Amino acid sequence: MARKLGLRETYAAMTRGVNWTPSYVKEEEAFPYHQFEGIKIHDWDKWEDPFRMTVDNYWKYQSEKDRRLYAVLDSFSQNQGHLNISDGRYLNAIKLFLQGVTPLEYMAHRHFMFIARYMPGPGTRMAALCQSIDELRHTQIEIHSMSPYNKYYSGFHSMRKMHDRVWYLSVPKSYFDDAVTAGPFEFLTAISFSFEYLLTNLLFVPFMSGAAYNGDLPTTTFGFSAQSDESRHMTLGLQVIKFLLEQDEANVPIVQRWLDKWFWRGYRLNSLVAAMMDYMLPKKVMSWKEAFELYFEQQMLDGLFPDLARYGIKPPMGVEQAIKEKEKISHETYWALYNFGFAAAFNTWIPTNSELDWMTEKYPATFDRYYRPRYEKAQKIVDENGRFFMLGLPQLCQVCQIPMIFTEPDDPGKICFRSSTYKAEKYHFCSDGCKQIFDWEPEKYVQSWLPVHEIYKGNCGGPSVPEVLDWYGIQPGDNGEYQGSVDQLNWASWHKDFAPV
Amino acid sequence: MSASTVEGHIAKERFIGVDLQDHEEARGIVKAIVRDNPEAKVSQIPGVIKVTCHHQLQINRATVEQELRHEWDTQEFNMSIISYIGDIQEWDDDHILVKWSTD
Ligand SMILES: [Fe+2]
Ligand SMILES: [Fe+2]
Repeated sequence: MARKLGLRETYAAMTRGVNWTPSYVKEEEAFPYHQFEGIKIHDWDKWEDPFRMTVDNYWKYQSEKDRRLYAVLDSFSQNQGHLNISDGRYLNAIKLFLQGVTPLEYMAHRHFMFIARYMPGPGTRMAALCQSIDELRHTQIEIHSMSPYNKYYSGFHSMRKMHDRVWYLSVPKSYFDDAVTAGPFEFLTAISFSFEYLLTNLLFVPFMSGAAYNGDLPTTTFGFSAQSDESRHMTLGLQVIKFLLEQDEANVPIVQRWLDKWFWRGYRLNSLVAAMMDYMLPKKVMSWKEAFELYFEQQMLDGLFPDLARYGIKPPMGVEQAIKEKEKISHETYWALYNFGFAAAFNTWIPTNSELDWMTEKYPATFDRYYRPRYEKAQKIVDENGRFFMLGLPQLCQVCQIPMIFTEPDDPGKICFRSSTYKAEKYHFCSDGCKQIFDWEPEKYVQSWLPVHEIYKGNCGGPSVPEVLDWYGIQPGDNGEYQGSVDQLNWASWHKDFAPV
Repeated sequence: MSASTVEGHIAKERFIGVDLQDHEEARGIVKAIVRDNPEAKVSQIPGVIKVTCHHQLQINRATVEQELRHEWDTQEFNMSIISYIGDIQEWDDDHILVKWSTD
């Protein structure tokens, strides 16, 4: 009987072994996109994929993952599982995830399929093909997992439309659009390395652990199901970087520039995650600051970067500022969401007293001095005159598209403004990092679709707030204050017979 | 420039590790890791078991099979892993090795 092939041999046979050299067309006609960025590759066979995933194993494990997930979703629905989450407020974090992240999974699916077709190396193509199918699976399981909530809660109904239109969702959307309109190696550096290796743990691990802690069975389950694919994607990201750096010295400065850009882009995107972690989880796993220190500073700066230093790669631009901002970014971001919450497809609220105390404990250097007084004032306004909203439209950063809410790195009392002039037009930025990214590629960023500008240009349904909200797909109850909202009133009536906790 | 020279950053000990789902099979794998890597440290956040080591973390099929009391293909590790820190340097029929490339 023939000997069974080992993992290593099976992988080689199923990737390199089934590759062929085109004969009807020239190599550069079959693979026309991998050279214009200036990256030099000499030997695609040096590409290693430690997961050694082959098609037969891929189907076997992925179908098993899906079977486990759908069994959980069935029992969740059968048992009225939505009543067992920690508090109705919690689901606003999940709405933000569905509106902001799930459409990115779909974009990742599309672009990894492009990579799977157009990269000349068979190992790279196989890894990208698996990832493309993974990302489609993530899109589907996220929608399926969250749909049981859509029957009972607001804000879950129109994520695809909202993602393309609503102001705060242009932050994740423009981030990904920036990546897919770059060349293939920049895309891989942006998404596979900077997002999936460098920053992914900051988003997913606290998020899924937060779901587990708040009794959200569907999110925990899809999250871990997706994350098991994600560790394969992390490997792809690290492999891409090492491969590029090892192939040619001339690749090093190009990769460093991409790293500088995409760390800052990804980090700015994560400010929404920071706000979610500190403010939207009724039961909190860890603070943004603690997560940043563990998952970025300790695991990446102390862990990964010494490995990259031997190629001449330095920690990315803006990392010192991100370290300073760990004391304030979640507070500045949530405050903006609270102020502009009339135009968001989730609810916002003032943290409870015990939550304010938790933040004092977690952020001793800044919270009582700069942020607690705002919420105490907001509470006073609620008590005397009812909830206020900031009804004006904010100035947006031309690059990250976040309103100009961030303060000077060394002064939490002063808003940070930067600007550049390009072809006699002035453009505005939230930070040195975003300004630098613009200055590197102004032709790209002058084309940004900025939600506030588009409202003023008359492209968003009309000049009044109700017209814009209608165009966004936001229905009454999706937006505004949580206390007294449809969700809060329903939650209270469903739990009125429960023993008080 | 080494990472430790980043302004405002206090360097801590370097480690590698794996984050696993808190479920039955993963608990067996964790027992095997602890047996084969005496310096392994196990910690937990809701739903997640984190196993870390300072230099390298090795998972051996034979030890996992003893703990689980059934056959285990190293590729089944895909059903437990949710994240990792370090560089997966080897993954073959008998073992999985996570470490950094530099000391
Ligand atoms: Fe994904
Ligand atoms: Fe910005």
